Amino acid sequence: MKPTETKNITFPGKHDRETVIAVIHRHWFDMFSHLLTGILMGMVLLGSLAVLPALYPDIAAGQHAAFFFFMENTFLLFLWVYLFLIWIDVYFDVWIITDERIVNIEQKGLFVRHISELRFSQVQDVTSEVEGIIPSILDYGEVFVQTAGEQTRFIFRNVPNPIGIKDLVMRLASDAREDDIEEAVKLLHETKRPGMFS
Amino acid sequence: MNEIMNLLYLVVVLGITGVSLFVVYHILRYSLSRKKAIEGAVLFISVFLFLLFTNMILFSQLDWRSILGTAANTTL
Repeated sequence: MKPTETKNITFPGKHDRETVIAVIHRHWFDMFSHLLTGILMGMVLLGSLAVLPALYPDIAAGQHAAFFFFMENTFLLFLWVYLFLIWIDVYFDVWIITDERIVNIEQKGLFVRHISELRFSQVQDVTSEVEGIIPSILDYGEVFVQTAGEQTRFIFRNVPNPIGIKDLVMRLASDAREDDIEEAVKLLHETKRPGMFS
Repeated sequence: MNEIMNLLYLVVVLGITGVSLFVVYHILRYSLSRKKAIEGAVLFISVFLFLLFTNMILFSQLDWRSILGTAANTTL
């Protein structure tokens, strides 16, 4: 997995001693496909700046020219804000893997934000899925984490290198289980009474 | 006529500025990295202000009586 800059990453609810191992955003192609409509509209707008005055010379004269450029500028302004609204909706969906848990932050529009977390001790099974020609070529897909908690399935959507993420989560879950077992054994020995484990 | 258009334009500008403030707030509040938050906000604000400023200049040069009068003549 590509190393990510995790040193200065902070998120809501981060514990003081918690170490961020990976920050995963959606794959760039998934973000691009969401922004594609806006990008195409931008290209049409910019193209029309050259094409329309050539096709309709009246547009480039007097008050018509001023109105034409005003409308183009207004559309560009709205488009710029629209593109960033889409960007916020897509880019701010993030999965943070720390040494203790997985945190999923899902941004839905401007005013809805879901944060869920999954401790590694609750992980039962991890599956990765890559479906389609473009995801296969660009190596992105989904990772499903089966849990023992209230939320039965935790999903990484359209993330890069899903197999690498699956392996990472499995390793961390396995380490967490070993730590839990060690802790349980230690506790058992501390509370050992005569006659136990003879 | 110009007064009505000025009023409508003011409403539109206030609306788009309000939405932009929300965008900047989200970028600054919810970015995981301070550096990327500032870069994103600066990029958005700089282009937004440029487009808004040029938009206001272009609007101020419009004579709505002339534009709408021409449009009415063309339709008739």
